[in-house]
Amino acid sequence: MKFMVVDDSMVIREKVENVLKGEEFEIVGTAQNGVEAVEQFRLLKPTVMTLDITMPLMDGIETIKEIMAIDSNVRILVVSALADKSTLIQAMHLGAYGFLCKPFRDIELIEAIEELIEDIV
Amino acid sequence: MGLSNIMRFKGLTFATLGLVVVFLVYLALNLLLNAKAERDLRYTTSIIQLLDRVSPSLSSSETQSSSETQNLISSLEGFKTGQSLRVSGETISTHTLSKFLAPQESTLDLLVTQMRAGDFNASTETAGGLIKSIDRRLSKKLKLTRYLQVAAGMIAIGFYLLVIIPMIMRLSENQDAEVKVVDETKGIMSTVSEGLFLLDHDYQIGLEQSASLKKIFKLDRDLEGDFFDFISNYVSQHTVQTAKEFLGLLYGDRVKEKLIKDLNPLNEVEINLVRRDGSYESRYLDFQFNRVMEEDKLKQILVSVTDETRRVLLERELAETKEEQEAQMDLLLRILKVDQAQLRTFFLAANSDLNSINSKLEARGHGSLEIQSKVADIAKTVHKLKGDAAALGLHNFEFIAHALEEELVLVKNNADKVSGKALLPAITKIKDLFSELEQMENLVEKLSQGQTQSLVDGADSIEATSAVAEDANASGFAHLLQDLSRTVSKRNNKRAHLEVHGLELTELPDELQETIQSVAVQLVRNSIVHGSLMPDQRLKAGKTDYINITTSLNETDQAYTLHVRDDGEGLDNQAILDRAIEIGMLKPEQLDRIDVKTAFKLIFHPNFSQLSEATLDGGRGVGLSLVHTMVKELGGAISVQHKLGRFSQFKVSIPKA
Amino acid sequence: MKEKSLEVFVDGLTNYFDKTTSSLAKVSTPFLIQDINKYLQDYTGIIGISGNHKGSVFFTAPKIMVVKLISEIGVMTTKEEKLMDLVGEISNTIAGNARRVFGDQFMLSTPVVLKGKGEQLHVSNISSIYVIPVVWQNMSAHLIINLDTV
Repeated sequence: MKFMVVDDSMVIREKVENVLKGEEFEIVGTAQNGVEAVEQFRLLKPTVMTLDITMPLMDGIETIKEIMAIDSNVRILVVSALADKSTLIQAMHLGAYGFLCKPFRDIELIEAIEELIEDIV
Repeated sequence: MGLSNIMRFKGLTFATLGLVVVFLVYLALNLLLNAKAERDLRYTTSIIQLLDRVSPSLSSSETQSSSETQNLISSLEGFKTGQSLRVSGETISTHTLSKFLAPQESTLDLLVTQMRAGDFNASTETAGGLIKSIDRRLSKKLKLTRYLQVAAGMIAIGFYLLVIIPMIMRLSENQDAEVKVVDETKGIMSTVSEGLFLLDHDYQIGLEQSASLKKIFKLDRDLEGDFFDFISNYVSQHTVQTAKEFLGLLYGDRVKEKLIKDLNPLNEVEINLVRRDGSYESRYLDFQFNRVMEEDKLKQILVSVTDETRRVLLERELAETKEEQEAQMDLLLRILKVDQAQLRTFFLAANSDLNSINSKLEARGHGSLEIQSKVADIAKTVHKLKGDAAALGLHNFEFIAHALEEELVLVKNNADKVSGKALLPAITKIKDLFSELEQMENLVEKLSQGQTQSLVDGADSIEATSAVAEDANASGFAHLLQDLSRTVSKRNNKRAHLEVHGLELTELPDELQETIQSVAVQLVRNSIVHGSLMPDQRLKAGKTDYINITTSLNETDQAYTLHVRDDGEGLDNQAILDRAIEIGMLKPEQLDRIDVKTAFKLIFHPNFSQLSEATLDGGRGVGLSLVHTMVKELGGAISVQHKLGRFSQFKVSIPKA
Repeated sequence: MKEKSLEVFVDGLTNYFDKTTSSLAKVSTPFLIQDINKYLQDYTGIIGISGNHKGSVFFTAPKIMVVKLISEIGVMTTKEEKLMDLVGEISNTIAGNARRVFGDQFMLSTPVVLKGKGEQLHVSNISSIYVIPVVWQNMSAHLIINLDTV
């Protein structure tokens, strides 16, 4: 399953990659801001992606809007430390499937991803 | 609710109905058998009547008998040819008759032959035999019918027992289960501690609600109407709006319920409930929302509300207790580090300082100016107390003293008239200082009684703390000054290197020791806060990124001399003058009369401060003026040497008494 | 906020002066004491407090002040009974004000009025007691506050 990681923090990108290495995913791309994310999404068409909200150039909310316009079948898990629930809820309304709060433990990420894709595996 | 009774009644009806059906079937079967038996009887009687006529027909008059005999013969022969015949007005199929006569076919033939031969005796005998045989068959048949009837009855009863009853039992079991479910649900809803209810697509609150629900909200009746209207009585409009958006997500089929739990704006929400007496009460409620699915379609949302007030308050209390314990532990460790003699000196001084503050407050004088002059006086003592506590690393005391100083400065600088009421915040902090002091004294008292072990849990920490204590006792005040230098430079994002010579001071008289320690503390602090640039700026100026401070105490026959020298920025006379004008200490027209070279003396003035914002470490302008006052009180003198951008050196001399 | 609790009692007292007399009362600098008996004057009203905070609040004033206060409301008397009644009334006003502000956090008793310093009061105090002098026409009354958590 094609997987993409979008986060402006390198630590988080690496952490997600490391955690998912042993699972059934193929990490096809990583991006550190919304603009990169949209570009790569167009090329790589991942099935699943984790997405940060607070990012430079283009934030997560805008990114979701653009990605949904390209392919709304992608399963997006918002991974953010943002405390403002209404922004996060907006992200869900725009098409994200769920939310994981930073900081997270490895097992929390795995469980969230499993839940995210349970009906398409 | 009569629902369970209705269900039981239905079970009973079904049982009765089953019984009636089985009885009717049995009755019908019986009637059928009876009818058959009756017909058999009738037919048999007809045949017997026919046969009974055999002997009279042969014995009667010639003409009559021959025709009668001919009739009988043709009837009897008809049986064999399969014609139906009429006997006493009833048509009897030969088939039926043959059932009775078939085994006697040869006897029938014999009878016909005998009748044709007109043999009366033989015919009578044969007919009698036939009648007897048919009689026997009939009674056999009737017996069979009776058996059949009994059997049918038994089958019916058996059927009822084996099929209907178990069916009814199963049915009523199901019903009992259903009734049980209803009963259990009722039981759950009346006892469960969560407030439970359902929301439909229009967010209307469902009728089925757990009994706890209204208790949680302290209402007399069930909840009703629109959910958002209901919660807007308790939470902010923003929260209501977020909750609307959140529930909208649940009603959509895209998001994963489990993955948006963290977005619920109504988990652990603080609400204000109106008590019966009209006053408010804060509670912490947790709302959980779960989709209720039916055949893959969202039907409703289950809402469960729990009162988490106890847990939330307990958690807070625990956090506070933990903080308190940590503060206690911290205090303990610090006290263990500090030389006991020094602590006692501090306790004595602090007690006398606090008492002097209190008696100044108690003194007459309630006019605004009188109050402000009292406050200015007190503020100095508080500043000294703060410095002393900082030097010993007694941070809690230092912080309270700092807060007190803030309050006092507010009053002191108030342009309007002040009343004693403005000092209420200050007096509560003075009380806090008294109790902090008392607490420390108690702790030291306990420690000196050898109760260290009961105060510190676990062998490891005992070893650790006693090691720290030994280390600290050896280095005394010098160590504390080092500690202070580290704390102050860290707090101000600076770096400092401090050398301490001859400051063990253990042989000094108490009042002198106190003064010299206080002065050293103020001057070291002054060097770091005012004398040193930021580390990167020092590097740019070609210096080490840390400020080098050297303190030394020398004793001669006549005096004690304390030197505090640093490689900081020295004193900028022009800047000091500018600042003095800025804060209104000097008027611009006074400048002419002032020698710029001696402007640095202004830093000893009580109102002078180099920092615009007061911090724990300075900005009050009290530090150096305090040094000045203390030194003057002991008949000493201060001199300053400095070079702008290079160094400054304070020399404090105090004559021996 | 401990000072808020103190303020409520102080305000209750100064309000009384402001509303019933022609000259304002001034609050002097508060201080702390250990033994209450030294600070009791000729008449003392005591309000007992329980609930979230436990302890007591005293209003104590010299006789001459009470006589003047009672004359302010048009009664010329030095009768002890009347003077003690006024001290009770003032204490009541302080308690009422506190009741309004604190709601049910504080339970306040009906004030008791004592005469003189002779009756040694046994006040249990684990820490220092606040004294807030209130000066009116150059005479000084004391508001004494002894609460366990303030």
